[in-house]
Amino acid sequence: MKEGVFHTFRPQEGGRGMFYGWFEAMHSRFDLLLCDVDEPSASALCRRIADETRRIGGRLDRFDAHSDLRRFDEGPCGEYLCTDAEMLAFFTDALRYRRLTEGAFDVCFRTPAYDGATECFRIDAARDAVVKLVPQTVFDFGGYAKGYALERARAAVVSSGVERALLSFGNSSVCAVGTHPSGHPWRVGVENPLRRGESMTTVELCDAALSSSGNTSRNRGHIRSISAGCDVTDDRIVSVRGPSPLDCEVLSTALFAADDRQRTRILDNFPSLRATSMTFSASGCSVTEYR
Amino acid sequence: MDNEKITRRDFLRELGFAAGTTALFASFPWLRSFAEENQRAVRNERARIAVIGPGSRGQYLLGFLAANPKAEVVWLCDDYEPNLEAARKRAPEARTCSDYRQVLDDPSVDAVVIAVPLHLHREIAVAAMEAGKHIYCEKSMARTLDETLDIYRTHKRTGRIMFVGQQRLYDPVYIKAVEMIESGMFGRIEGIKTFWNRNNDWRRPVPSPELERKINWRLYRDYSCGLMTELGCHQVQMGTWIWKQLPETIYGRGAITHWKDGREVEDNVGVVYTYADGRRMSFDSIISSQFYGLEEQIMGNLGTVEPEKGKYYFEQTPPMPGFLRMINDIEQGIFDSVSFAGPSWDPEVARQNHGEFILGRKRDYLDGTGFTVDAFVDAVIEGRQPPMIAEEGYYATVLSLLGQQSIDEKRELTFPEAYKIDYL
Repeated sequence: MKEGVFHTFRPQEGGRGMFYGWFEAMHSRFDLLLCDVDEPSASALCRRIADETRRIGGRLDRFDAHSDLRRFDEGPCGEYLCTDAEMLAFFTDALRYRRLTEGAFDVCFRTPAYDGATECFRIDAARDAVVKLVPQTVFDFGGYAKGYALERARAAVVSSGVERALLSFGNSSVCAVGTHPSGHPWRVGVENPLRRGESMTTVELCDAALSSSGNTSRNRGHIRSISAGCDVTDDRIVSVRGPSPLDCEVLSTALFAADDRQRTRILDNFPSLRATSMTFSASGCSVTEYR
Repeated sequence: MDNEKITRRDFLRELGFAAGTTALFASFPWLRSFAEENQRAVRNERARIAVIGPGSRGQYLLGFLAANPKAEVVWLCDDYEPNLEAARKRAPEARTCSDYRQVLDDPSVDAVVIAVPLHLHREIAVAAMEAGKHIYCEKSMARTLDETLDIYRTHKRTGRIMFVGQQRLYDPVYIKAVEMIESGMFGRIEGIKTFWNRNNDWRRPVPSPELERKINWRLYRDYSCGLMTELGCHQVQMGTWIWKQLPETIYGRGAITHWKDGREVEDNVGVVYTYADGRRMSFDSIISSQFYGLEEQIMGNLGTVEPEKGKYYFEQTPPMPGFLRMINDIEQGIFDSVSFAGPSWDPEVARQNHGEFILGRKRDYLDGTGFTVDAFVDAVIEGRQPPMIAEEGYYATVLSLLGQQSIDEKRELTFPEAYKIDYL
């Protein structure tokens, strides 16, 4: 099942049409709508995106004993854990986002001795290495990997010449290329998890991304508030819209976990992003625009 | 009637068409009579209807007519008094007779429901339409191919409304299932496997030996083609509905393997309908083993639908309904938002393959018969034949009769050109 790449093609004119492909990767699903394409090229593009997404997943999967990330989890504290440029870039990004979010986003939050104030690792660029600074540091790139993969997928779509596309990674990360075939921006609703099919807010996307983080009835408490030192359990979703899928992915997690004071400062560091908070219940929802 | 848990008022809502009734009527134009404006137009009208043959099935149909304020049952006609006696309890105001011609001679009768044994369908259906009456003819349409074509041509020539009792066309589960199939949710439909198994002798009690053939007419070849026309006819309709094609060849086998009690029709049949590109639809029926019961397994490369269970199942990772809806909207020139964003898709839930209910919950009504009868009443009042109903009924009968012919002749048949009509 995990290797499958599925698609359906709706022919329109001159052998071109709409291509809808989907596949599983990173314990989630990826959906891809490409407009005005021919089926063989679109199918090949979808397969390349699936391969690339799975490759990234294979590197950053904290559940996989053979993933590249596990080597860092298991590596000793204080030693140079040398790696390649891509992996090093992941860790560099992680530190940058930690700084820009005042620690609300931190790939080390699962470390047993984690205190929120201490950096758990550093980069030694000269040696292409990561150095763990806290014993038993463990890494979780869950709030990063999908955004990165979506960024790569978008680049692949754009470089292949597709001008209108909608990409969704696990429903939580969406990215639009160009406009809807009607010429309007793509309109994507954020669904109330307790009222299926009902939008709490609708976001217009044109060459932009949307990422959502929050709780559902099945995964309540999977995001930790660094400042409060506990899991966030309220029925709330934070959606972030902006040009970069990766920024949106990281920020939706960070803003969901951040307190009010942090939230304002974090958003100041990302002036191109817009965020919305939605509190929901079975009877409805309330929506707050952060900016 | 006790089985009808959903009212007709809820019919369209029950189908839950996301894109609204415009999309529904585009795909299922015969449902247009359920539209609110149509309902308003016929609200204060009444159709005067006769029931010819109020046996067990006829009484079932009569129950829906009696409960419909737009229908007035004016005649009950049967040459078997116990049937009339039972029917009078449901329609005490109706006049009764034993000769259908008396009904047809009554100019105040708008329409007749024909629920007599199969071998009598042609005679009564043709006479009724020639007399200017609209007809609801129980399936199968007729006992032979020529008779079936005769009824259809009479319908076209006279312009009288003709419904055939193919109730799946008005069954919300089937309509929703076909909508899902046409949206591409289950990919390309590679095969349709239908079966109807029971474990009983299919006999009705006979008070006196001379009434055996009159009461158990389904078991005798002069009256019926048995399993093919009485059961298979419902199921083989799925081929034309879903694939919108006719099979090129028909291959069937059958025998009396268990109930060797003097009957003349098989109790064990299997027919394979093969379409142009090699895809097949099959019908199997064994009435001496019931474990697998009744089902139509509509098998796509992405998923399978079982409308009788009211469920569908995906092969692997299912497509996202939101994306499917969006591409369907784009195809129809509709610009709308799609609501799917939110916290991450949950693979653990998605991988459980217990199936999903087509209507979102377990079916709590028997079938679409009540809606079919109601739609017939509306059509009679409006004087308008709903599209596809007569044609789907025609081909369902033709396919079941060709299956029987293949069984009888023990050879593969090619679909005969002579029985093709201007449809599909």
